[in-house]
Amino acid sequence: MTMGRPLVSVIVTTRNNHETLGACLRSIIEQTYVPLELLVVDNNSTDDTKEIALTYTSHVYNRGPERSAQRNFGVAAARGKYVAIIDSDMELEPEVIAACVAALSNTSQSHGVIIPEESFGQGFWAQCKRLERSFYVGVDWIEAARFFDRETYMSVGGYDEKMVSGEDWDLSGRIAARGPILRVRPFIHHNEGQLKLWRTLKKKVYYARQARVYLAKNNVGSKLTTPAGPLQRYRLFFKQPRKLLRDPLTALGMLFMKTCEFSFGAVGYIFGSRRSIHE
Amino acid sequence: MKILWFTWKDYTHPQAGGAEVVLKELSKRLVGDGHAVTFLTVRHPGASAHEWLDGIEVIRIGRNRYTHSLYALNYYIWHLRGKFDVVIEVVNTAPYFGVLLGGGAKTFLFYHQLAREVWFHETKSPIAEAGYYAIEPFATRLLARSRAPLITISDSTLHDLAHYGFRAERGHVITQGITIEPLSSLAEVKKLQDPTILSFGSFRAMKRTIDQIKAFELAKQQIHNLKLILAGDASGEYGKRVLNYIDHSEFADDISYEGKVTHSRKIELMRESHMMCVTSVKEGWGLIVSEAASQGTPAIVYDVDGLRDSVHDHETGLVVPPYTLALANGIIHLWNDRSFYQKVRTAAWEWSKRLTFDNSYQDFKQLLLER
Repeated sequence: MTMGRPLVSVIVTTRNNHETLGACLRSIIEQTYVPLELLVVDNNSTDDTKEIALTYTSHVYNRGPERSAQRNFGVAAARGKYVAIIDSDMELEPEVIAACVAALSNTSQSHGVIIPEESFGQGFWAQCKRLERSFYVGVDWIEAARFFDRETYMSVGGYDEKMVSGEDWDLSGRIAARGPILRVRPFIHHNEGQLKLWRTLKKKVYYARQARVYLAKNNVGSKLTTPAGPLQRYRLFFKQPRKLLRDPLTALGMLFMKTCEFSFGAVGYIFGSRRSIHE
Repeated sequence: MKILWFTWKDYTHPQAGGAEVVLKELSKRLVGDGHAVTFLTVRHPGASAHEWLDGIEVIRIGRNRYTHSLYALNYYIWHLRGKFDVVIEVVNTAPYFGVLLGGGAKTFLFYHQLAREVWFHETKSPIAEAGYYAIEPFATRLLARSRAPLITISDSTLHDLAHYGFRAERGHVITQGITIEPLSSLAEVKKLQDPTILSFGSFRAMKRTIDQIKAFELAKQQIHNLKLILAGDASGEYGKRVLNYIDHSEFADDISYEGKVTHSRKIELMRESHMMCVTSVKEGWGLIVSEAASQGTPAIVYDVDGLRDSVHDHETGLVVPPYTLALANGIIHLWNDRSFYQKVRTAAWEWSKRLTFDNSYQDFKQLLLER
């Protein structure tokens, strides 16, 4: 029975995601919830990302220059009462959308839902990432909402296109100002693939260079205690020493990786600019 | 009374805008009431050092925007001080501090707006930082030390100035006026066939014209026959970026750029379009918003100083958070709900009829006489 049920638009943003996209889109069309519409917003992929997307949906668009602009475009083009913002390296458990709709349908106060995330991938560093993410489940200041009612998403302005990092917290903050953010139980599984430390660090430098926009916008006093900042993260890890000791080698690897990420982030931040790439 | 205005632009200046119109309209009425009015202003290219305009004496000193205030203050001290009953300083980024040297005259500070965030849009680093963090706060606090009452055209500006030591009771907000005659009836207006957004005003970084084009592109996903008309001077660096953006837009065929238009074309556009978008970083008042309202066209504006004063949200238009998607949402909302559109449009038009310079002048004259 789909009669009377609200349409949900799932927006997937892509850029050269040949490897992970098929599994991602499959997990979406296999959702237990209907009616669903799937929109893929690509950013000038040079591999066969678009072709893969077209085998799952006819709503394939091209948009740039950044992920936030792609997401906002997807929401503008969507027709659903609700929207889910999904990355191409994610795989959804079959109940995710149904749980989100149930959560928001029961209230008129809330407009956003957090879906917990778990990592998987190959190799040592992927294991470290998986351990790291496991600390974040249920932590409000680290997890950001991905499922929204479309009207609210649009009226608060969606993701800030001038931000390259921190934009998900920024949006969650604006949504939360209109009502408490809810959470659901089913997970999103984040495919880290064959995680390479060096590649992760390079990405951190890039994001950190842009982080000033978030910090400046939110008038954050200390850079060390923001959600992206190191002190709170370490505190979070060491609050659960048993979890760290259960697999000490992975735990050490994770702490090393986070320390490297923060150090590289600091370098990126120092040499970053106050203005975003769009200005 | 003999009245002196310190103002860096007079209304013949090529960059004259809404603020200069206010000065002109108030001064013309002062002259009409038998007062003597003098402008001390910058000498822009092609302008003479001394002339009479509409009965107003204009003295132009210095050619550079920033050093002009020093020359003007010097001229004032040696030649004009003590000769006026009223001295009004229009503060626009570079102050004269003339009110601190009133020479026995009643003094007033006239603020359209503070620059604040505009520094980052209109100047480059490190001038932007210096202006934002040091020059403007310092100069404003210094001016706040004078006893001169404050005149502004919006609550936003008054609120902004309160951060720099201006106590609220010192401030007076006078009605913003418009020079366009409001339509006598909305029934006589014929709108364009397709839903059309108007973007009006010179293309400058602080006006964020590209935001309007992006919002149009997003709204177009839901309103397929939506059109966008832009009118304004595109000669600057930002103007070129806007034109380039239009050229590369996938909806270039639905966007028309008319260049700088004549007054009559401006009115025609304001009349025929369905809505106007205004996305400035900050304004003293959204003058074009009120002008368009007088022609039966409501506006969707960013929730920023000055613009939020010129629209009563959900009554005479929409005030949205300063993001392109929120603007797009406003466009869709306003267009799709026809009865809401008619209601808003009528209320905006009704309000515009009260925004006359005769009303501004009454408020203003009251202040000058009271003191």
